[in-house]
Amino acid sequence: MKKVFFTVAAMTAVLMSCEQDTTETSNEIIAQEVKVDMSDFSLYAEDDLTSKSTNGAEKCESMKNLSFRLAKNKGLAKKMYDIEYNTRKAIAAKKPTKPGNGNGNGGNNGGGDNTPTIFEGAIAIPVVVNIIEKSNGAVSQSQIDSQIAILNADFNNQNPNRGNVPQDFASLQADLNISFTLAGVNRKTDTRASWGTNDAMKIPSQGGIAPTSPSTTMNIWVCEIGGGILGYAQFPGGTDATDGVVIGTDFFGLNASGGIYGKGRTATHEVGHWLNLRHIWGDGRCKRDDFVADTPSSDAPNYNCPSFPTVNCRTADMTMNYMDYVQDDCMYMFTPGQSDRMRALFVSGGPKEGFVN
Amino acid sequence: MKYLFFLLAFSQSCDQYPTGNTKISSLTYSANTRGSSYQCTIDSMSIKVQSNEKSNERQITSEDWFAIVAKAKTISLTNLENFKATTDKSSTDRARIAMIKIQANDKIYESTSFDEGNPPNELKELINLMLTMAKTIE
Repeated sequence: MKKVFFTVAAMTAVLMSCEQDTTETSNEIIAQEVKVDMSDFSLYAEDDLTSKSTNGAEKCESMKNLSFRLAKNKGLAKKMYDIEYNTRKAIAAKKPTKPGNGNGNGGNNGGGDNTPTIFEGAIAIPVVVNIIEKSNGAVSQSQIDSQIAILNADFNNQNPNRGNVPQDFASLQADLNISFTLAGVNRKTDTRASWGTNDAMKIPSQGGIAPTSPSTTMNIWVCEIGGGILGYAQFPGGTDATDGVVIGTDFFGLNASGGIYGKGRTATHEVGHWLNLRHIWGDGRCKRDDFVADTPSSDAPNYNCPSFPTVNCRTADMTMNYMDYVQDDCMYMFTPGQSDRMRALFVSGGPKEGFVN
Repeated sequence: MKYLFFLLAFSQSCDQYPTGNTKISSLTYSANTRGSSYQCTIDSMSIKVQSNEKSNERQITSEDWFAIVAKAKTISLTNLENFKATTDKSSTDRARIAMIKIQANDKIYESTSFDEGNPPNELKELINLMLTMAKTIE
């Protein structure tokens, strides 16, 4: 899985960013320097990008191994790379202090240097729901409230189905200690049948609703998406103007018309992406990782409601993880490793620091 | 007539790939995501389309089949798994996960997965042809 090397070499030159040539050697991490291997991290853009980057990337030492498919938006690539780098460094730094304890404390917080750590303590996320509906009030307040309650259950290990966990994964059900509160609802009436996945619902000039304070608020858009898409997200590092998650009307909150996808878990999955989680199969074959050490490797999504064990890449898949593609009632857990990835975003200087300050 | 078409397809492919005696028996294109699935399978006899729970099938003309085979033979099957697309929208659920499988000489060749609507360049024409045929099924 993820290759993280610990070395005692003094001059490991942990480059925090490309611009900084100076190496930091002071009390960055107790006793050991952490070298982060980024060779398995390849980036695509979230937009269409057709040609390869020809310059820019070469300048950047820490990006040498990055397989860029980014031409239009080098800024996004750089941001996503740095977020990934800091996340890995924080997780690597945490491991030696508390081996075998997924929910343990992170590295040192002191020092005032650039050492990333994993945020500790409760995280409260205000949520603004932007609804584009066919008639005013079509998405009911109780539907909104149920979605907030479902997010709170899932991000605090209170999913009603969590008791179905197989013994193999029972010790990996993480309580993320992240709560959500409804901070506002914006409504707009529009009869469009399909808004697609190019963010039109977020852009006022295209008929959408602009996000509210994305650096301190999570925005959820609710509209008809179309094309068989239940919901979609944007990874950390993307532009504020489109930051948040989009959920198809039928799959938002508790909603009978969503059928087996009507229990509000689409939002849990998308908020997972919004907090930097990858699909649990790593969006590729066995060797493509989700960058989480305590999830088994897999080479494809699981659908419907698989029985245990479902074996791929020689191990049983964690099909009940929120980041797989199973139906709502059959997903009920995040892992401590996923928790670390999410929490690494909330430290000072991280992309979600605005939520805890 | 049938034989003639086969010869034509065969000779076309020989120019590019010395192993032109590939015998393609079926092709399957699929696009899936959480809560939604699509699959189109074509062989020498029929075309079958499954979209979520709906399933439709009809017979295929030999002209259509040879057109598909001719197009498929412009693709290096042994490289199928190496073709890369330019987007990765499915990693945040913006696109369904698509792939193509081609059965030839009793072996199944699989592409890597790619975003629905934006296949690797090498596969674009073949997939467009399959989807055009798929649309003719009611």
